[in-house]
Amino acid sequence: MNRGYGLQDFVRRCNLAATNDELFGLLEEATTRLGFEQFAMTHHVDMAGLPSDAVHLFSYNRDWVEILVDQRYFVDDPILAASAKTAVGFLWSDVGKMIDLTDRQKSILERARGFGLGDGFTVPVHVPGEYQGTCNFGARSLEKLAPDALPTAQLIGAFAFEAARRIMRASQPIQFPSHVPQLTGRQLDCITLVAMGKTDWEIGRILGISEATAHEHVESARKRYSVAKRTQLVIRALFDGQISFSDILQ
Amino acid sequence: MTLIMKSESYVRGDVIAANMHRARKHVFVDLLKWDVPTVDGEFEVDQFDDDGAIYLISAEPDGTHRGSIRLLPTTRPHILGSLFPHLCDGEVPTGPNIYEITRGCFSPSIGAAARIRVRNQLVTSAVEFALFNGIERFTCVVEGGLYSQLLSLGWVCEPLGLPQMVGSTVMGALQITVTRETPRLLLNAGSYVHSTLELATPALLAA
Repeated sequence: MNRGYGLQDFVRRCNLAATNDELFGLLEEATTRLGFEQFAMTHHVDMAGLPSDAVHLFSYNRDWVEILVDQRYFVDDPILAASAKTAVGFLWSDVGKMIDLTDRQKSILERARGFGLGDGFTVPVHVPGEYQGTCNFGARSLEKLAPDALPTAQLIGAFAFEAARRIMRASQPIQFPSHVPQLTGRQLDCITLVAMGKTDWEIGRILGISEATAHEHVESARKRYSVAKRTQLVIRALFDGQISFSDILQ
Repeated sequence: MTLIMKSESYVRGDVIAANMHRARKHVFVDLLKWDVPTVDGEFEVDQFDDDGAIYLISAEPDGTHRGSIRLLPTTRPHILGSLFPHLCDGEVPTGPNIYEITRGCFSPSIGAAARIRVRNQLVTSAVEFALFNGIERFTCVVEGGLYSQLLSLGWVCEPLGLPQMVGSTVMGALQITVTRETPRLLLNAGSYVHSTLELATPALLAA
């Protein structure tokens, strides 16, 4: 598999990388060899207050990264928004076809151009129960792309992101599977119904239990999560993959 | 518990085997819209569901399907070798110590968290089954969007070729190396879920 780029070699070195610095170097080299100029590999989290379990490796122009944070552009970044719509890599020039761009999003794309990010390719990284992630490769233009650059970038993004997850795990105290609270089947049923807007009384009717029992299930789940509000409980359960959107939107 | 079965269970009318083929029809035909054959519009059964196939199945005590995967020997016709050899840059890896993982099917009705748990259980079972039986490598054909999920399990994966467009989907081929280290790699990645392997058919790998 050496058409244009030594992919096997990259994967092997990725699997061996022990630090973010090593991984950064590997990605920098891959970026150049594929014909791109800058990369960003990141979980979609609040860049102004990075959680400790988030992947965040940027070779983007520093001024641009500062603007992303200062203007909170990362919140509605059109590339990140588009990445939620697809499982496979996409060209930035196709983003307008994937989502309806707001004026703010159009201006983000325009400003990025001024920092050498005129065009690019984004690999979405969806791991169930985790933050969404992407590996982004940008350049002033894509004229100098190596042969097979896009499918190669797709694999490089996936393998590099996994290496980053592995490195992050190794640097954190061992968390046995997992810090996610254990909920009973009944509690999950109730949370799903709360997410669908049902009251305790309605939940009781649907599940054939009393209103008080339904209330008790929701309350004990809320306590296991140590959150104050039922809304927070729903969000946390969704985030942890305890319930899914398809459960709620059925 | 993970049940290990061969195709004769389905032929014999075993409920758990039938439920697996019914769940596969629901997931692959109804939900994912794959163009694969069905029996009586109720069971998804393809040309590889033959004597060589080995199934790892997780089921409720009443036989309700939770999830399943299929292992195919690469010494016989299998999906990568027969249908998608062009996804490999070199030769398709084949041999008595190489099995292909196919048809990972997890029941949508069990909920997102349980699906992840069942997936981890079956992956762990596949690795342990491999270690017990001298299987050293798994190959598999993956849709582009599933690379990250497969890699996130923590085992050692390598691409066999670049992803390509097949019809309207991006597909690629991977191989997974299984060694005595693999269970620990799964554990470190939080995806090790041990369960007892229960043979539904004796002398599984014979002949």
